[in-house]
Amino acid sequence: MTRRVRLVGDGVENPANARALMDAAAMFGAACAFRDTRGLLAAWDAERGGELDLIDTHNLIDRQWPIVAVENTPGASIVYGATLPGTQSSIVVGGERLGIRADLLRAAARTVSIPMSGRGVNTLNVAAAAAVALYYLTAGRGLGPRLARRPEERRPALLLSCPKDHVEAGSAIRSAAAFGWRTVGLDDSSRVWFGVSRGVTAEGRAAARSHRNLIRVLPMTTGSNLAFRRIVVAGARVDGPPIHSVNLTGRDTLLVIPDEGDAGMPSFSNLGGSVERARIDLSVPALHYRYRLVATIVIAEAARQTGLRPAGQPRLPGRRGLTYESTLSTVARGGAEEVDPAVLKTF
Amino acid sequence: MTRSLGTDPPELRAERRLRAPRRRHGQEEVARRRFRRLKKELRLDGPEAPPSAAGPAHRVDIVVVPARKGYFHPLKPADIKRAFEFFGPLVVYGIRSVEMRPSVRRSFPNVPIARLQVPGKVVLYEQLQPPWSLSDLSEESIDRLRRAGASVEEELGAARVDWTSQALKDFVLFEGLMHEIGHHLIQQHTGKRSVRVMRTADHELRAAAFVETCRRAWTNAKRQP
Repeated sequence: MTRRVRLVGDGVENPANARALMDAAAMFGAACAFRDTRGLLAAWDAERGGELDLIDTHNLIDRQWPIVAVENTPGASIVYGATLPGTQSSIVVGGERLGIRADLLRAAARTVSIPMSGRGVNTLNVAAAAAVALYYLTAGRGLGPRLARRPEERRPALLLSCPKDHVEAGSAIRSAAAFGWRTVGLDDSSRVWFGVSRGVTAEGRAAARSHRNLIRVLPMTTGSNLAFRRIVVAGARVDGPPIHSVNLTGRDTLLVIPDEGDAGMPSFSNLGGSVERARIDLSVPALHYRYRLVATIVIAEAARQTGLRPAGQPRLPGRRGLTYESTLSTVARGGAEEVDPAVLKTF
Repeated sequence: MTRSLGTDPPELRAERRLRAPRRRHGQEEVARRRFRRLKKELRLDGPEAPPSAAGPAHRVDIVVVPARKGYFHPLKPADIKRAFEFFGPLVVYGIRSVEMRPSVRRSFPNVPIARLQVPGKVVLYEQLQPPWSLSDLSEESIDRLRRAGASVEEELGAARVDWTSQALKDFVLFEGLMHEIGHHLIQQHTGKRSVRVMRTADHELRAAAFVETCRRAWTNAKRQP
């Protein structure tokens, strides 16, 4: 049975996010439209972004195209394991600040949420959220959530390898923080994050939501042995089994997400341990590769495999008492930086 | 000036309490002698209360959780017992257990060696089979490794660390076990065992100084025939 899906952005304000949403839809072979309630059309540059497909409320609330709203509302079902209500559906994601409007939420046949355990940052970029929803609703094969009492103990280490764009890197870092990672390694061979100009720094940090994001970003290189037992390289163009059939969890696992854009991928043979590969099943992987979308899907799948804390169970208290630890310390360079909102306003 | 049992020098107190950890303080030999003398001066008669059970001598539990593939525990339980015998009751007093466990990623990206869980639990982490390839090690860590006898070759952003078996054993013994015991002694002999008694930086400095003292004593004893 062929399913037809269209992705609808409701109240998206930022043209860059609208373009990323179109790329997310293209990755899964879906159409993309926007309900413009907050001035997207006025800010849209047709030469840069192409034709903007708009949809009005009447056409959107159509019984032939039942709505699946992606929103963290009370009572929403978890996106892992959720299914589409019919052979054709509209997947609706909300704008950056206010989310999906109430009229669409009321008209939605289903509401799904993306479970996140991050502190400080608990939302995804709208395009990243759309990519995760599209993956699990269309290509995720009904992969259900797992429960774990202490998911943080099974969370792999994460290395973002050579992102070629600072905003894409920032969005991927934000996704990692939203899914509960506290530390992320960044191989900055493309020079987009550390030691870059003030403007690039501000844009990247804004995409990472650094003013609220407590994640530590550590500079790493893919050329050195990082002393992990397992290395899993995951991406859209990686040659390997489907990502859901590869174990991405474990304390001694390093999950590497390379930027598979124009240039070739670095070799990961020097990282140490056994290198495994995992591939995201996409309908049209060659089209419109965006690092943040692929990275967020991989991180979401790792978070799904790591497990969710059972509902109603309070966060377990940390280890009590006073401890002292003897370690070999590494150079504490980089790290999440706070950005002055006044500086951001200039961009 | 009177001196109570609570202000005995730590070496004496540790030795006495290790021998009879469950004996009440009023039943110590010195206390009993003082009490007898007081009774005699006051001309009080009556049977003397029998001494309370002293209980078995203090024992440190040594727990070994097998290391994962590719890792190992450089120290064996016999090495720990030998070190305890050498350094005497002072370092053993108050230690409840020494556990050898797989390493955890709590301290990522730092490389964990050992941890003290106050009061009295020392955890020694498994170590990778040498040679190690470690990225972004701080200068301080590289100095520490060199002082411990490792051969460190620095490359761009990474360091190759090689060990002899004995050097790695000594490294874990001193930079792991004795370092944590240094922390333990600070906590144990202040009487506030589970409360932080000084700034962490000062705690670390004193623990490091204790390690140096122990290392000197150990080396000198080895040199003597």
